Amino acid sequence: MSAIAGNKAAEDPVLQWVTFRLENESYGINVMQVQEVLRYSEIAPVPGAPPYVLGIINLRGNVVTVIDTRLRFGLPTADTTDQTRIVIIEAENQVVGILVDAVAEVVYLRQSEIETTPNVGNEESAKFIQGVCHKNDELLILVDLEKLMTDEEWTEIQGL
Amino acid sequence: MSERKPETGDDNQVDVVLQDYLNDLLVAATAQPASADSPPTVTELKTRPETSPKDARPVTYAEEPPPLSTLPRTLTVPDVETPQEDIATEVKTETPAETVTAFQTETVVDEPALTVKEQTETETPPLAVQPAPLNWRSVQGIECLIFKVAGLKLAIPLPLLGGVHNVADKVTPLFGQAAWSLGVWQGEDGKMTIIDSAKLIMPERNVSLADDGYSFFIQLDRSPWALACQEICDTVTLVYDSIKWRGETSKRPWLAGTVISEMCALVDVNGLMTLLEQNVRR
Repeated sequence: MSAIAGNKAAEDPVLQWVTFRLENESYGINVMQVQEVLRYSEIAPVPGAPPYVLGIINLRGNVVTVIDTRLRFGLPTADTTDQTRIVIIEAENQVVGILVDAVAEVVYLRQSEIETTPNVGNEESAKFIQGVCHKNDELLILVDLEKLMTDEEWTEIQGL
Repeated sequence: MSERKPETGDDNQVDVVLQDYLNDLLVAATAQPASADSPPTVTELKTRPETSPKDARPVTYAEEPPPLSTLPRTLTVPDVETPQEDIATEVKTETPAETVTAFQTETVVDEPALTVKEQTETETPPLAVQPAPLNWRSVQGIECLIFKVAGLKLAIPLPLLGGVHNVADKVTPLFGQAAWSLGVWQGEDGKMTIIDSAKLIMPERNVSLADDGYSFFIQLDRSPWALACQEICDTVTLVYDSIKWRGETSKRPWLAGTVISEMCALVDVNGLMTLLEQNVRR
């Protein structure tokens, strides 16, 4: 019995996703890529940085680049609030921060629950969407952080 | 099918003038723009039948159209399967009995394929499930649902109607998508991509259903695509001659033809689904 259950779990693993909100929609990122969540603190702009870089923060002595997630997703800009958070993530062997409207919770999703949707995007940002999942009476948009930037952009950030 | 005798000269003139007027109206309302978001044009169909205005016959109602108040929350149409003989298609509802509306229509589905073979010869991936072609030349005609999008009346054949869904839950927009995609909607049978019909069909008018609102989703056959619309009008039975079929040079693959008597455009469901599939990035 336990062997069967083990096979089932291997075939349909349960993944944990940290959910955050942007422009009244819920997004999810793989919990394994999230290092920590910070309250909003002043972000120092970097002269000459690409537009999708908001600036840098000092995280316990380490410099972390913060990405403008709204700009990256093609969403309108918004003011920061008490709920605004900087999610420190690791992707492409780099540690960066992404600015989000709020962090909600950690949800458990089976692999089989994740569905792909037809990508009818004309913009590059459409490729960030890994899939969608119906959870808590709303659709959760799962983001592929590895595709958040191109190889050139990851390299560019590394050089900041 | 019985052919109608030629009408008198005066009647012919009236028909021709009315048809030209409707064609102009539709062309003006749906002219293709050179927008980045506009769908690409598709190779035109070679097998589309043409009819002359003289042959146009009035549309006949199979039965009284249902009042809007009795429209069910969700209409579903069973698959049309047998391609060689008459079958009965019934539109069922999953809502409680008090709002049940059933449409009885008889359709024959042995028309030679008028759809996407020639269009998909290039790089377009084939559709997962190709709807059976309709026999527009059947005596009984084909029942169609008429709905409104930004003032434009559209008709869709009931056998190719996957369902009519009342908008209850919100549509989740996905970033980076084409302007004509309103987002994803969780239906009872799965997720559907909701199309901003106004943006897709008449982008030059700069009308967006995201701004103007919408009340119903018209699911295209069994596909995961649905057209957002603002109003469900009624059902009519259309016969071959009541439709001014799209010309071979048309740039609108979603358009099967124009229904003169109803002043509406008949949706080519196969052509529209092919158009949508062509826009999917893989």
